[in-house]
Amino acid sequence: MKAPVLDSELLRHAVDTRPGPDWLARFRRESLERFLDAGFPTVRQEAWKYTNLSPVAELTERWLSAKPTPEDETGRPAATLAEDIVGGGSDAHTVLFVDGRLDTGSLPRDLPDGVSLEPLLEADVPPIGAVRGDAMTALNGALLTDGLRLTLADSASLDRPLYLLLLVTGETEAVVSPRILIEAGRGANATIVEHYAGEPDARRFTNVVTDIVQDTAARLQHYRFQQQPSASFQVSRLHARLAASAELDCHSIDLGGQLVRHDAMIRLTGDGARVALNGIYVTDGRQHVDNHTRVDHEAPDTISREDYRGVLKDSSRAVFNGKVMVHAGADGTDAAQSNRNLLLSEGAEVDTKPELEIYADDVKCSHGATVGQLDQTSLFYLRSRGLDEETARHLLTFAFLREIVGRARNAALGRRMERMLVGGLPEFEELESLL
Amino acid sequence: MQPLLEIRNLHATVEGTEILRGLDLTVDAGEVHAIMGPNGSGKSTLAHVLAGRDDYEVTDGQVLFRGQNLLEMEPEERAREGVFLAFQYPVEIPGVNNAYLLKAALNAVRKARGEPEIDAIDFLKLVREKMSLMQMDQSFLNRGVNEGFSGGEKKRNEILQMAVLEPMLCLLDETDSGLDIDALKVVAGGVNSLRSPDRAIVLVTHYQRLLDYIQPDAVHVLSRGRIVRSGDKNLALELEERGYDWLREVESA
Repeated sequence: MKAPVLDSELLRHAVDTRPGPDWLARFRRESLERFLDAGFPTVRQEAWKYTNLSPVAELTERWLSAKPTPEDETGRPAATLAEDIVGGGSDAHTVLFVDGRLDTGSLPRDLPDGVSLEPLLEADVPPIGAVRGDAMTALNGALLTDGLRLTLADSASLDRPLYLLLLVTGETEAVVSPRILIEAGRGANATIVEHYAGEPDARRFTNVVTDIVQDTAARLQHYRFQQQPSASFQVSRLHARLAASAELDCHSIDLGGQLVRHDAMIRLTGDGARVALNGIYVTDGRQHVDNHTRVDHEAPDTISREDYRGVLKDSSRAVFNGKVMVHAGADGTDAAQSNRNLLLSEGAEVDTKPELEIYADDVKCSHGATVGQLDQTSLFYLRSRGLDEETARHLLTFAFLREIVGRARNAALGRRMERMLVGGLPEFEELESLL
Repeated sequence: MQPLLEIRNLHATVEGTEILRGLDLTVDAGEVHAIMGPNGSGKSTLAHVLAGRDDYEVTDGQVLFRGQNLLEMEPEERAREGVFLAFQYPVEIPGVNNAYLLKAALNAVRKARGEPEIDAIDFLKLVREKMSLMQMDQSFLNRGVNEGFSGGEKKRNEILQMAVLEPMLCLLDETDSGLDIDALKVVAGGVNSLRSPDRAIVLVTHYQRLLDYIQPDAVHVLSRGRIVRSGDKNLALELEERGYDWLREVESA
C-alpha cells in the first residue's frame, strides 16, 4: 500500500492564509513545522501498524488543491440537522459546531457561577495547553478551524451536561480541525459530551483534539459519541492529565465513519487519581475503527479501569491497542484492562493488543483480550424460551455491549447510548421495545 | 386418546458418537414420568433433543408431540407449542433482564396461542404470585438472567419460568442436582403445582431423592441410549437400593 504523503507547499499556503489572531497564526505555523517534520503516520510506525491513513492524506491534498484559501460551504441548515440527531428537549447545554466551526449563537448564556465557555479564536492569549501530541495533533494545530475552552473554577459544578454537537455537512471533501480544551479546578465537576455526526452523504475528514486538565479532586465524565457519516473519516485524540484524587470517567462509542482512529492518552500524575475508560465499537460494511489507549500511572495509588468491547460484522475491521505504563514510584497502582470482541461474520477481523509495562512495586495489574462468536448455549437458551433466532442474536449482541453502557453515571446519557446501540443493530425496532 | 408425547425408535448422535440408540417412550397428558439412569446413559441428550438443541443429530426415529412432528420444529417453535426444558446448567446472560426474558417468552407463547400480549400490570401480578410460590425475592426480576445466581437460585428461576409459561410438556434435566434439601422442597413444590390433567412432566434424574417429593406415575431406566426397564415408583426405590451396576448384566445378557 502507498504511504500517505502531502504536498508541503500546499499545506504551508493554507496555513499562512487562514484567518485568526496573531497568536493563532504563530501557533499554526509552529504546528505546521512539527507536522512537516513528522509527516503523516505510516504503517511502518508501530502505533499505526494496522491503520493506513493514505485515504485521509489524499482527501486532505484534494481539498488543499481545490481552493487557494480553503473555505468550506455548508449544507442544509445545521439547526434542523441537530434537531434530527439529538432530538428536542435534551437536558443539556448544547453547543453546535458545523464543519469545525463553532456556532457562537448556540453558546449557552445560563452557565452557573465559576463555569465559563469561550470560543478559542476569540482568546487574546494562546489558550492552547502544553500538549504536543503526535503528528496528527500537529496537523490539527496547523489547520485549526475553531475551538472551545471550558473552564471550571475551584469547586465549580456544571449543573447539566455540556453537549457539544459537532456536525459535518455538504458533499464537498474538506478537512475540519476543531480543538476542545477543558480545565477543571480543584474539586470541580462536570459532564461533557462530544457527539460527532452529520449529513449522510457528507465527505469530511475530522481531525479533532481534546485536551483535559484536572486539578486536585476534580471529577469529570467525558462521553464521546462517534456517528460520522459512512463516507467520512475521523482521527481524534483525547489527552487528559489528572492531579491527585482527580477522577475521570470516559465513555467512547464508535458507530460511524469509514476510517476512524481514536487515541485516549491519560496521565495520572497525582496520588490516588482514577480513570475509567469504557469503549464500544460496532462496525459493518468495510469500516475500519482503530482505538488506541495509553494510561500512564505516574503517582502512587492511582487506579485505571479499561473495558473496550467490539461487535464486528461484514468485512469490517477493528483494532484495539491498550498500553498501561506504571512508572517508577507509582507504587500501589491498580490497573485492569479488558478488550472483548464478537465477530459476527467470517470476513470481519480484529487485532487486539494489550500492553503492560511496570517499573514500580506493589502493583495490581491485569489485562486480557478475547475474540469470539455468540455463545451457542445462550442462544439456544433464549430460543428454548420462545424467542426467535434473530431476536435472540440481537439481544445477546446488545447484552454484550450493554454491560459497558450500564456504567454511565448519567442516566439520561446512558439511555441515549442504549438507543444509539440499538439503532446500530439490525431490527432495532424490536429491540428498542425491550429496553 | 392421542398421547402427548410419543417417541419411536429415536437415534441421536453427538459429534459422530451415537448416544440414543432406538429409544421408545410414550407419555400421556396428566402423567409424571421419571427417566433415570447412570451418567452417560443419554438422559440429558434425550432432554436436549426434545428441546431442539442442534448439537445433536437425530439419525433415525420419530417424535410426535400432540400428533405433530416435533423434530421438524425450531427450538422456538417447540417452546411456543408448549415444550419447556428446565436446564441442568441454566445459562447466565448478563445484560438481558430477567423480567424482560420472562415477558418476551410469555408473549411469544401467548401469540402462538392466539392470545393478546399481556399488559404490564397483569404480568407483574402473575410473576409476583409465581415468585412467592418459588420463594424468590422480587429483586431477581431486575437482575440479568441468572447473573450471579447461586446454583439453587438458578434452578428456582427455571421452575419460575416454567410456572409462568405453563407449558404442556415440562422437561426437567437433573433439576435436583446440586440442591440442598430445602431448595429441593421448594423446587418440587413448584413442579407439583404444575401437575394437571392436560400437562405432562418428564423428570430426568440420576437420584431417587427428587421422587420423594414428586411422585411419578412411571419410572424408566435408560441405559446406553435405550429404555431397558419401566415400572412404577417402586422401580426408583429398587434402583436406589441396587445402584445401576445390575444394568450391565442386563445389557450383556
